[in-house]
Amino acid sequence: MDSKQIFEALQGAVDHEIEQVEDSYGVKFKVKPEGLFDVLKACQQNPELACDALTNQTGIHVDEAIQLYYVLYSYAHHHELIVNCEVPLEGGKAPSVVELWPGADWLERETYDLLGVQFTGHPDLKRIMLPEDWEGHPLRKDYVFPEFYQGIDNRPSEITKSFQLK
Amino acid sequence: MNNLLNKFDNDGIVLTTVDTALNWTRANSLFYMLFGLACCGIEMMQTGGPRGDLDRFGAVPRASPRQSDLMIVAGTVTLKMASRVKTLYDQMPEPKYVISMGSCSNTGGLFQPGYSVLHGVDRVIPVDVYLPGCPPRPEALTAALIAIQKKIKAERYLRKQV
Repeated sequence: MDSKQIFEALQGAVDHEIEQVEDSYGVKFKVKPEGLFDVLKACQQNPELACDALTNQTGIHVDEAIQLYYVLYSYAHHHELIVNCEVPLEGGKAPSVVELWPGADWLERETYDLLGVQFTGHPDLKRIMLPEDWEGHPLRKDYVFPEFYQGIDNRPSEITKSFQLK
Repeated sequence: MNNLLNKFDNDGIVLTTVDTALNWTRANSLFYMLFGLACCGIEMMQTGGPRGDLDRFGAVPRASPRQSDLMIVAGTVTLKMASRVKTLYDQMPEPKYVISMGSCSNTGGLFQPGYSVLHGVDRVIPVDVYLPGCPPRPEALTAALIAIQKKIKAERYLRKQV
């Protein structure tokens, strides 16, 4: 199926408002956080869509919000679709899809670790890569690098500063 | 020591100082701890392999810090790893030596602008030899080991520290 057919099939499968956005990387289906779980469930369980694989789940901090992306693939029909959802920067919440795709477990933990999005219903939402006592979420644009960590002085040296871009 | 090359008719005697004999043994039995943190670790394995053959200098890899004299920090040290590096260094018995292998371990290197990268392992543990390169070739690591051996041979370990 091409993206237009996927869009129509998706609109027929759920009641939620779905917006089709297109940028240089291709077509994405934008949904509200309230409808995210239902849309993703329809993507997996609708026989026309049948997206049995969650290839990737990630997020980007753009302006004052975090854009979540769910890249889905169907091995039955060999089509790919991307679901996009915008959550606010502070107190952003999205439903967890671990019960649909168990592989989402670590992907959501990574998004939580680096961007600070809370996934409600996740079985074990804690940091996956950074230490547990780390402060902040580094992939946010307003993140300030730590100068000290556990008593270790990690401020850049004078030589380093001379190489840094002003 | 040249007399060692000639065969003795009877039992021979070699005269030397205790320091020289001790340093000679210490420098030629450097057990290094396997500490491959990133791609430099691959280069360290090459050095320990049959081509680089670090074994011919008496340097043998050990998997435990308690049996090691030398720590080769090979790779990027993250802030999460920094406390582990410190703990493992503290577990090594004295006298102990450290080679900081590669740009990442020296200063953070290519990954220095990262939020989680330590700006050089010398912020956590003392370093004896800094080995530049990204990554250094096995010959360079061998040269660093020889530099450590030279340092050991120049030490007067048994004398009272003033």
